[in-house]
Amino acid sequence: MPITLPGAASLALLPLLEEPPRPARVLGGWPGAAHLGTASGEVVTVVGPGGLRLPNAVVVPSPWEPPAGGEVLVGGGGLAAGASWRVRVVRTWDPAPRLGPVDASRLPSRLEGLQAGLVAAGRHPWTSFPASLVAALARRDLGGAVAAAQPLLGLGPGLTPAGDDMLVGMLAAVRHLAADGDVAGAWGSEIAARAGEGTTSLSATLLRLASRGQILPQVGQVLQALATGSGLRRALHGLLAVGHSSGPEMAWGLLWGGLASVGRAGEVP
Amino acid sequence: MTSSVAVRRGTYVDSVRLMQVTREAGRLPGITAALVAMATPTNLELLAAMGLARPDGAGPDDLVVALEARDWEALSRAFGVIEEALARAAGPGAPGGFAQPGPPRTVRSAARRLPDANLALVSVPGQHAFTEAMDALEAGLSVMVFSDNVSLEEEVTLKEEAERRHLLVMGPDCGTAMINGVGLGFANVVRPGPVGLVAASGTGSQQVVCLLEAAGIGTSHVIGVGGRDLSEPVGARSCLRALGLLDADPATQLIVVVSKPPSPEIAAQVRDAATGCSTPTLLGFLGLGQPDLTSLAEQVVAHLGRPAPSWPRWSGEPGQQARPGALRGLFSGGSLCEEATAIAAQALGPIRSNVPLDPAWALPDDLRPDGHVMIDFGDDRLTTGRPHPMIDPTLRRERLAAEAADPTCGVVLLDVVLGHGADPDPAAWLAPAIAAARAGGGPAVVVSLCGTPGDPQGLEAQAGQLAGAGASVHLSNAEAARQAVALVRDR
Repeated sequence: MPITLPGAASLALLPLLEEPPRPARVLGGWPGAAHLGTASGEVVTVVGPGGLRLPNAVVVPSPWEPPAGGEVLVGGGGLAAGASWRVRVVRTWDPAPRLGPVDASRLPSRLEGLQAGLVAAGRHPWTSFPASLVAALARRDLGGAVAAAQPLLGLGPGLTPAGDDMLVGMLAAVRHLAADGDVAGAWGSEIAARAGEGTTSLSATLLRLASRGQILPQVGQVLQALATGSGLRRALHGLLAVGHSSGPEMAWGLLWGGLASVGRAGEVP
Repeated sequence: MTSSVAVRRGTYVDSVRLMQVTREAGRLPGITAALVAMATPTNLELLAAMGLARPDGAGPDDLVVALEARDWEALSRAFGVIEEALARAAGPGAPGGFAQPGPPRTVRSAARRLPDANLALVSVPGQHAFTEAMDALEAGLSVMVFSDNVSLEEEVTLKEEAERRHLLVMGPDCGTAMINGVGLGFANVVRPGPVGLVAASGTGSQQVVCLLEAAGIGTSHVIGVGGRDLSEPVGARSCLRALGLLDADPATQLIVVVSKPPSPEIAAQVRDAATGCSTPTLLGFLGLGQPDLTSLAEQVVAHLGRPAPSWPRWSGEPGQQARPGALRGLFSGGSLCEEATAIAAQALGPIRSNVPLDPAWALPDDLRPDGHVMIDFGDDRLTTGRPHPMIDPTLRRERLAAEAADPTCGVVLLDVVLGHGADPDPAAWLAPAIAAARAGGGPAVVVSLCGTPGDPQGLEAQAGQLAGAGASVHLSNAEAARQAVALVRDR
């Protein structure tokens, strides 16, 4: 008897899910998340209630733990694993936070607050401070920023390597906080294009979405706190709890991307 | 020093687990360096920089395990540990199949997963019960609606639908049932036997079942139909259906119907149906001037040719005296309350109640009049937003203390219902409360104790504690009511 679950899909997935069904492979599944990879390198993550709401996620009411390597169909308005398990997308949610106008003059002091919170939490980054990258972004040097980011792609431990997590934070920060949207957008597009070859399919998907401003809610909450000046402590606490090192790496990425966005390249935490 | 690099193709492992595996590997004896990471180009360059061999054909979605150790033995042992840890991390999904999804979210989807199921139990807040019960019927299931606060219109609609589908609706407000020996809701533990009950009265049926158990007579089924089933609007739909089901059941040799007296038209319909049954049927319509539940149980005993029983009673204070004053009944079971009210009214005259036998005897909203009073704390109006008094004693405990302190109260009559679903140890709160009430010349206390030796609370143990606290305890609710009346009249 097939079991059809209702699903809530990220808006980022809508084009993929509305196309005719195409085959995908189960890259991995464990309590809370199952990652489905298409031949074109896009990854759809199925999460149960309470799971991490990645920007590429379809949220379903009960957890699903398929064996790695299983065949799945993605598209046609949902997901299907053989005749036994289906998801029909019944609603969508937006993974891009809406921050409203950001007062750039107040950002430096709020970024100092973020830096202080990270240091106080004792969550030091696996990646070193990417001085050349921050400097290149601060001076709006697109070529320099792309070259400086390249060695960080796919670098380090984790299913989403630490370097990628940090870059997701930076992409989110420059996308949402930078006054010059052109350079930020172009840099994000370049990173997204290079991610396909440089890192895991999941990480590449998350980098691609971050370049469009589509991120985890926990990242969005820190950005919101930076934009409004309130709730930073709680938002940072939530982000630091994400994954093993992914949350802290993204938080440091937000800080460094934020510094680049306000043109302050020289401050090394 | 030796090293090795292995690749697991297409392996996605939760990051948290990946970090744990790396840390575990790094701590193993003889291991000097460990990297368990995704085989991204950057990470492979990192491996090369560490002096480790770059694996052929590894891609970003593969997992690379690189180890450096003091000797081959340590290296081999570490690979074994990592393989085992990664296999654990791969999750419980069986090869070729998918893990079971979580619990079903609707009655209908649950029914699809259990094609042999034929009964659903609905116990949700009353305003949602209709939807769930209708879902069950549409899935082809009979349904027991434990919920109260379901409207009469909804009840009629449900029972009409059940009739169309040849299904049974037990309830709404069906607190007790026993189907094939399985108790549903509040249910006593009884032996299997020849008597099948159709009950529009939850605690009424529990009383009959417990008395029969004491008389050594077992029960086949108890089909609750809800307190309004024999009303004019509902038309005894479930009662008639249940009669047919019990008549067709070979284990049932005698059918007993327990209900408040219905209107003459409904009573005639039920009598006609009973007459049409091939199984002997006793009708127990309770109320003023009607035989009580104990009399009904005695009729059953006689019908089955058993000797007339002597119903158990326990008294820790023989010759208990009451102070002058009125009778105050504090009940958790509606039918037990009504039965006690009918018995007391015959001897004492009007009895004020929130479930009055006569509309003129209705209690004011504050439930605090002078004179004789019987309160059903399980009435819908007193259970909205709080558990049933058979589970939560708060309201009755407060009222017992208030009656003890009220000099116009001469006798307190209480019921205690045992069995599955009920308070796991009612004597734990009630015995001290009785002792406190009795201390210093307080009111006499009479307890109607409805239970069986098989109940999880233990009939004898509960009775012993309540009697020990100074109460007069009776298995028969009617006998308890008569004892309470006698104590009032003696003064």
